[in-house]
Amino acid sequence: MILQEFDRQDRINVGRPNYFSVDDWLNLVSQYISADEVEKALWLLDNPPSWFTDHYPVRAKELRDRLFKQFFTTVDYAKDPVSTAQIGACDGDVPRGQIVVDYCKALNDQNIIPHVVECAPGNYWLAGLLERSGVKFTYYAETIDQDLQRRAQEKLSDFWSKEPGQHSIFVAFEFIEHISDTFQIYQSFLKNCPNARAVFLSTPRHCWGGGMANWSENALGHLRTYSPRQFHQFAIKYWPEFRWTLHDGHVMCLVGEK
Amino acid sequence: MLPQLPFDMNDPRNMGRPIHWDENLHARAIIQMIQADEIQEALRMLENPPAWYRENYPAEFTAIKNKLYQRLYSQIEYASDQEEVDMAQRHDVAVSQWNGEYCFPRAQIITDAVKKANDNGMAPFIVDLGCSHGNLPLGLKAAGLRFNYLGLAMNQKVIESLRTAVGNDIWSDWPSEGQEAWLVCTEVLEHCMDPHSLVIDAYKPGLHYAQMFWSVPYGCLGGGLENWDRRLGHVRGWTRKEFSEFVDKHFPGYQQTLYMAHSMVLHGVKI
Repeated sequence: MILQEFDRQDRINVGRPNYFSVDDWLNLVSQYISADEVEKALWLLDNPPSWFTDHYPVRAKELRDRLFKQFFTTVDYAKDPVSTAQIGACDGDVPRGQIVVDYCKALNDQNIIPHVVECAPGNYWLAGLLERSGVKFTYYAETIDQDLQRRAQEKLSDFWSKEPGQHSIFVAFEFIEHISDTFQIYQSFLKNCPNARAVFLSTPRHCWGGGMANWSENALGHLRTYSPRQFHQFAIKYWPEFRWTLHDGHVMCLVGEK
Repeated sequence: MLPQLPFDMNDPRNMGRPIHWDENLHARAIIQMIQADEIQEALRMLENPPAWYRENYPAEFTAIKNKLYQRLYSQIEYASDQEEVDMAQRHDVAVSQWNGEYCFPRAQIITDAVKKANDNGMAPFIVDLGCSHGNLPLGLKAAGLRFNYLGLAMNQKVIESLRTAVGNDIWSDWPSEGQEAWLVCTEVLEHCMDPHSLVIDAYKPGLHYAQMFWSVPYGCLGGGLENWDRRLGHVRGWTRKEFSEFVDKHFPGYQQTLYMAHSMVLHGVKI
């Protein structure tokens, strides 16, 4: 513990903690942000020892302003540009996508055409992967970017459908870590696919790619990280009647079946 | 004569079950919370019954919770709301709302502030967070006031429509040199499950706001809902104290004036 240097005779410093280092505090906040724990970083910034609440350090304010500037908000997601050429494209192997492909192919083998409903589809890579894999399926997805939604509906019109079909499955990949209200995933399920027989969820295992070296130059989308246990707790909270299987890796994929 | 117990105490499944707990009353109270625009509170009540009920969760509660989530207007629904897009093209309606009961008293407070600024030779740059169908910019424009404007919303079609309606001489992405930036966030807070997200949206542009105008219904708007089987937008009510403390906590250093009506308006001026 290092005794902090300040004028203890100055009345303004009445109640100031002796051993609280603002540098250490702000470095810790930065580390949290770098580790994809933006929510926790914001909490730390909002909850210093009470003396600092009344005498909020300028450097803390600057760090918070920078954090807010880099924060990817809902409005940003609503207009994040994805070109029409990118719709359905997929770079390399995506294990969680293959899990869905395998599940759907098994249904096709039983002459069942699954209806895939996806929440927050990104560039709709999953739909593209299913199509290229020869899966027979119908598909619906919703995204906050309405212009992208319209273009995707046109490009994927061969299998785009809102009809639930014989066997619906619900997919929410790499979404939970981006949203503050995680109930939104369950809400999307209820609104679009309430009778789904299977649910596919994914999120990075802990911190994606080790985190960021320089967060202040990056758009910050991930708000928190999940351990396998925490991720599983989320799943069973909203789908307690489903049987869950974890496919572990850099990205955890939870598959719940009714 | 002993009162009849509501369930079989000898059944091992009822071990730990509260005797004096009226399930129907609990369900009625939750419904009343929803009808009073207190969705967040209703969800908390649904998630926190006595422990025995948390393990033996009543089917009725699951049904209420699922219906609640289905009726709750989602971010995607806000982003794709066609009614708002249609309204953004009905300029006369927007102006009429600004000048009428719909926008009372925030319209008068903001209009007076802009007039005062104009009289002092200044046209503010207004950042309107959750701009809806644009009754603010269209109302101010119709009144012949001088200002620049940036509307922020999830519904990008509304933004496109509003940008055209407001015009490029008013719409701007950034204040000009020396221009004062003002923040407006009216009738949005009560729709947010996470009000902190609005704070981030306000700070994200990196502007220092000389004035700010917030508004939120005082408690429950219009007495609440008789029938909650409909789209639910308001997720909580706010008290004067909660409202004032929320703004003060996240935007310190403003002299606040709180105007009370069915909609509370908080006007902050940077000290």
